[in-house]
This record gives sequence, structure tokens and C-alpha cells, in this order.
Amino acid sequence: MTQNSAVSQILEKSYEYGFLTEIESEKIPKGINESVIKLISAKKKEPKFLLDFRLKAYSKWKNMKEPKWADLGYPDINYQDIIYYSAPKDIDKKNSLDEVDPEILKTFDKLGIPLNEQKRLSNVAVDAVFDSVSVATTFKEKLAEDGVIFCSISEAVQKYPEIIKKYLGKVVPINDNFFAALNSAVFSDGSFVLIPKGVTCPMELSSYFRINSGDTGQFERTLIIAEEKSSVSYLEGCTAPMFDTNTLHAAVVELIALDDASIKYSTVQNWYSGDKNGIGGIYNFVTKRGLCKGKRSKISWSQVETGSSITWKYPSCILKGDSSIGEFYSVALTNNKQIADTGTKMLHIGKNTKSTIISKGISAGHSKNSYRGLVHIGSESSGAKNYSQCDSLLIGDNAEANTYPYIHSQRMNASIEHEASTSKISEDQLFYLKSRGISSEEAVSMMVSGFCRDVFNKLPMEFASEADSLLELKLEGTIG
Amino acid sequence: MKEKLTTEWIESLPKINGSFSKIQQDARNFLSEELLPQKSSEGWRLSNLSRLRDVFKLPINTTKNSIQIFLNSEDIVKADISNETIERINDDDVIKYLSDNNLINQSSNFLATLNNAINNNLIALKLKSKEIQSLEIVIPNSKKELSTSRVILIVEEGASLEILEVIKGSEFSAHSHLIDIFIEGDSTVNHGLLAVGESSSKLLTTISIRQKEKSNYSLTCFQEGWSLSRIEQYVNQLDGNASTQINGLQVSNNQNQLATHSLIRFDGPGGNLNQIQKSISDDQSHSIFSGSIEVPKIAQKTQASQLSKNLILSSQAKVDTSPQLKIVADDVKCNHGATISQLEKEEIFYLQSRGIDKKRANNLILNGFCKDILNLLPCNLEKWSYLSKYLNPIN
Repeated sequence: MTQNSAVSQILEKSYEYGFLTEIESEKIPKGINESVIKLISAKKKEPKFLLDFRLKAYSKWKNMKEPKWADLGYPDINYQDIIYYSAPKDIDKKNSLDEVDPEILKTFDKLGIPLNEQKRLSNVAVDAVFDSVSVATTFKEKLAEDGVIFCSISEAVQKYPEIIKKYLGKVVPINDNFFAALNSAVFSDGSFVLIPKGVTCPMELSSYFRINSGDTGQFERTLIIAEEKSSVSYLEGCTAPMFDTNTLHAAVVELIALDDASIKYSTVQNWYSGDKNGIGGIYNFVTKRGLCKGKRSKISWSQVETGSSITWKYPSCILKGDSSIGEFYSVALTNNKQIADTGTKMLHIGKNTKSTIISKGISAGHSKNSYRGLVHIGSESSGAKNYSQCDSLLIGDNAEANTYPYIHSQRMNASIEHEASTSKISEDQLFYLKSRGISSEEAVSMMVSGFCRDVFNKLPMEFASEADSLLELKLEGTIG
Repeated sequence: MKEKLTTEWIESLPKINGSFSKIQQDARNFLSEELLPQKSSEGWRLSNLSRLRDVFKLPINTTKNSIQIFLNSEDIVKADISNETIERINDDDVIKYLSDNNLINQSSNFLATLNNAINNNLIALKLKSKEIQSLEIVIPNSKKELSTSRVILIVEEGASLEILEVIKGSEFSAHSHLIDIFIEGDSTVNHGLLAVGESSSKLLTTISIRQKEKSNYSLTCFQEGWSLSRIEQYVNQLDGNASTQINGLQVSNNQNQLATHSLIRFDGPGGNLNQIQKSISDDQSHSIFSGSIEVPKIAQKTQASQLSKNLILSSQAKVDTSPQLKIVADDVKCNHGATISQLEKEEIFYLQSRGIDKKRANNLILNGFCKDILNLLPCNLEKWSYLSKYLNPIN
């Protein structure tokens, strides 16, 4: 089987990893206060510990200030103007694809998204073949055979309150930062994964279905626990453009890996980035952090960030267990007026811990793309090693590329290497390709793809093949 | 620790008359209104602020005209020389130069404002000769006092100059030093700064450089032994097309905290920068480097490279390094790198296998690490004997 046909097969059946959470379609008033939080908790029939968790987070959040250090320059967000509990919205179903904006359909075509997918993404009523509930049951049974728990976090709160109580907020404390505190107070839903001891998860888990399901991913909360000697690969997002009317997205993702466990977390983010003039678009302010708690555990983040008007996130690894490994592979592409401020924190605490950071930033148009990262080697972390590489590519002379690495070492026998470069697309290479009859646009996209190769290689196959065409699409019209 | 400098302290400062009194008063007003640097501000996040506060407990050294300057080994301050090579500039011309070329935003830069507020030793010189001149500047020092100094140099078109500044700290002394150099086109300046402190001495220095087109500026900075030292380097290529080299070496031991903060900005196309910052940290010392390179849209064809190399020799020493790039122009080549490690075991083994004992092998490697930088200092180093331990590996 060729890679392409394998990929398209996987794409065709991407539905099977979905599930549906039933939420009452009631609305509560705008704004945030204690009674709203109590109401959310009551509607979700949550146990008392979770209500306490939310209230504590709220009281911390009230006294916190919105961070301004990153100098992102977005208009003030009115937190009292947000509906914090939104049940599925009653969006008018369209009857056929003819009613959908042809621009969107063109985008889908370029990404090679199957027709039925297109219908679902653009909110056209889909037929019974795509009845997610029945499909969800099939894959849940398969996972259950291995004892893997994969469900919505609301469901987990009901079924496994002890586990949630034990781990929720342990990696990202409720008062970690302004947006994490807000999320802790009002999180709507998200995914929960537990891989039991010794189990290698039989399939790639995906939140793909969930995010598109119409209920808002505005305050998502994800918790993944890999017990001893287990391993899992989790995919979040998809390459298709996501349209959402919510401006602020403040998700929290917590990963915990015990002894010898490994978690691979891959993200493709393509939220609506606003129009050419930077009007509209999503503020994607996410807190993602993984704890390598056990010895020889491993957490690997890979991400392709192309959407959102502002992306502000630093997936991090706390390398607490001896010989644990943290990895971060990132491609961030910004165009028009987009801003991406992203990077990672590698906190080396245990002995012989290792981390690798590879970050590729591409800025086009009037956009601003920053790598901001921290490598911290603690005083107990003997033999720690870090390698970082952050490269930036500039397309056009109005885009901005910044690199802000922070490196702190308290350990003499640790070794840290960091390198970074910024350049434009080489004229020679461009000329070489053009002289062989390749159009400028195609040539640039080939070079961008080569530039990102180190990271694309780390993506799960489903994403890797689409990532190229996604970048190509995003760069359309930037050359010439 | 939200503290201000006390009004009593500010009012106790000696006042100066003449052209500089306004600048001084503005700076004092600023200090009496603003808080002292806070942990929450990015540039001071890592600094030992309690040691900074100790600086303001010291009385001001009021000795006047205590900056010593030697032109080709001749004391020009005492002799009050003005000739075809060098001349003193009057205060009004200095003020004009400063207002025309203000690189540091004084309202936000604490060190420069502090110097403006308390400085009572200022010397301004214009260099004109096309032949290489060598200027040695010795900064005053006094035990248990806060010494202040400011040097302003204007290097005229086509001139060629070597400058060596020497700052020595003694017990419980503190320095506030500010040097401005305006480099006109086609001129070359090779600038060395030796800053050697003692256990409890403190140093706050700002180096502010403005370079015109086709000029060459090279800075080599050595700092060692201060309880708290902070050297801020600002280099601005006003129209690009100039060349800048910055080299630094910090050697810290005991409980030293040594810091270098640099900001290099290109305001025109075709500029060139090569920066190497090294540190060696021993005992419980802390070494900090934060380097920023700004390449705005106008600065096409800029080539800039920045490298931070750090050695940690003890299990309780700390290193923080943060090389930063801010780039808008697209046709540029910029890179930076940073490494932190201990001495390479392979290198020591290589030397040991050739019959060199471990201690000497260590010294040899450290020596090589330092010499890369020290060899670039524009002076006959033998004169400054305290460097011999880095230059002479056999000891």
C-alpha cells in the first residue's frame, strides 16, 4: 500500500474515534461570578471536590492580572461578556454544500478532505453513515479490551472521580497563570485518557471529532495519564480550518507519565485567523504541560500552528523522573496580521534527563512570529543534556521573527546547546528551481516544506501528509 | 520590596552648576518618583537586588576631576592638552551632541539615569588624528564610597583610536560609570574595558555607542571579582553599513554576580555584527548574559551573529544566558548560539595522555578559553598584572 492510499484510508475513517457528549441545551447568563460557577457545576452534576476546585480557582483568578509581558497587543477582553456554559448551539443546518461559502469549499478541496467530511465541517446535515454514536461504541469496545479509558472529562468525573481528584490540577496548578485559573474555574469539557500499566494503546487517540462537534472548545481541559510501561499517541485538532465565533480560547492540557511510560501529543491548529486585515480571529491562549513523573518516562510534544489570530502557548515538560526525556517539535506559520508567541519550557529536575527542542518559525505578510523558550537545569540534575534549535524563515519584508531563549543552569556536569538562525528564502535556491520550470509559489512551498522536514518527520502519519498542503495553502499569495 | 530612593539621599547629593544642572535635576526628579528596579521587570529579573540597594547606602565620593586620561602614555588631564590630535569639548557642545544622539531612553534606563543624577566627574574629548592613537582611561576608585564618572568621546571622521578603560574596585566600593562614544564615518575604534573588583565591590556601567556609516567598532570587555557587576552595552549603527565586534569575558568566583546586558540595533542596511560572550563560573557565583539584536525593516542585508559560551566549574555556580533576536527585515542572515557545560572530559584526557597533569590540563584549557577574548584587548596586558593568572597557564 502506498503511503498516500494508507493516509486517505485513515482519513476516510477518522470518524471512528469520536464520541458524543450529551449536554442539555440550556443557556446561562453572560459573565462570571460564584453563582455561575455553582450553576455550571450543578448542571454537570459534579461532585463537591470539583466545585471546590472551581471556586478556589475562581477566587485566585479574581485577584490575578492579565499578563502583558508578551507584548501581544490585543484589545482588552471583557470577561463578563462571555457565556461560560454553552450547550450545543442551535446552528441552522444547511441542506447541501451548495449553500456553503465557495471559498471554504475550495480550501477543503486543496486539503483533500473527503466530501462527507466537508459536509460535516461546514455544518451540512450528514447522513446516517456518519452517525457518530454508533461508531463511537465500536471503538470504545476495542479500547475497553485493553483497559484504556478514553472519554470526555465530564464523563470521567462521574465514573472515575477518584482518579480525577488525584490528578486534576497537579501539573498545571489552578493559580499557575491567569488563563489557566480561568479555565480551572469554568472549563466546559475536554478529553480524559488513562492508559493502564503495561498497555500500548492500540490506536492513535484523537480529539478530532470532539472539537468539531459543535460544542465549544473554548475552555477545554484535557488530562492524559500513562501508567507504568504504557504508551499512547494523542492527536488534537485537524488541518481543516475551524470557524468559531468565540474569540478567546483558553485550554489547559495536563499530561502525566509514570515510570517507563511515554506520551506523544500532537497538535495541528488551524483556527480561524481573521481576515487579511487582522479583523476577527481567535485568541488561542493555551497552557500545556507534561510531567515526566516516573523514571525513564518520555513526553513528546509536536505541533503545527497555522491558525488563530494570536497563538500564545508553551507546551512544557517537567522532567522530574531520573533519565526522563522531553521533546518539543514545532512548526509555527504566521501570515497576514497573525501573531504567534510559542515555544517550550524544559525543566530538568531529575538526574540524566534529556530534552530536545526543534522549532521552525515561518513569518509572512505583516505577521509576527516569536520563539520563546526556557531551558532550566536544576541543582540536582546531574548529567542533564539539552539541545535546542530554532530557525526562522522570513517571507516578505514586513514580517517579524523573534527568538527569546532563556537558559539557566545550576549544574556543572550538564550540557546545553542552543542554536538559532534567521534568514530569508535563498535567491539561489529559488532561481535553481525556477530554471527547472517550477513556479515561484511552488518553489517556495517546496523550500518551506524542506525547512520543516525535521518536525514533519515527528508527526503522526495522518498529520504529516496534510501538513505540507496546509502550509502551502496558508502561504498562498505571499510570493511575487 | 517596592522601594524608592529616599528623598533625603537624593537631596544629600552634591549639586553641580552649569550646563549639566538641568540633566542632573531631571534625572533626580525621575529617581525620586520611580521605584528601584524590581524583580518583575525583565531586565532585572535575575539581579541580586539587595546588593543593588546596598549601593545607595554608601556616601558619594566627591573628589573632583579624578578621571585619569593618558594619550599615548601622556597624562592629558593634568597637562590640560589641546592640540591637533585631541581637544576638550565645552559643556554646551556636549549637551548638543547628547540631545542629537540619544540612544538610551533615559526615562526607562535606570543605570544611565542614576549616573546622570549623581555624576560629578565628567570629561568630554574630541579625537581628530588619522594616525592610531592610544587612550588610557583610569576610573577613580574609593573605599566605602560610591564613585561616579562619565566619559564622552567624539571620534571624528577618519580617526583611528585605541581605548583602554580600567576600573578597579576595592572593598565596599561602588562605581557608577557611563561612557558615550560617537564614532563618525570611516573611523575605527578598538575599545577595551577591564573591570576588576574585590569581594564586596559593586559596579554599574553603561557603554553607549553610536556608529556612523563605514565605521568600525570593536569592544572587548573583561569583568572579574565583583560582588555585583552589571555592564549594559548599547550599540546603534545609525545608518547601517558599519562593522561591530563585541567580545566579553566574565570570570566569577565566591559569591560574585556578574552580568552583561547588550542591545545592538541596526538602523540602516548592510550592517555587520560579530558578538562572542564567554563566562567562567566557579564557587557559588552567578553569571548572567542577556543579549538582544534588533533588525528593523530598514536594515536589509544585515549579518549578525551572537554566541554565548559558558563554563561552570562548581556544583553551586549558576549561569543564565539569553541571546535574543528581533528581526523584521527579510533579507538578513542572523544566528545565535549558546552553550553551557563544564570542561570537556575528552580535552582533559587528551592532555593527560600527553603527560600533563590534571590541574595543568584544566588550566591550559581555561587559559585558551580566556585568551580568545583577552588577546583582543587593545593594550599591553603585562601592565595589568592581575591578568597574568589567565595569561600564564603554567602557574
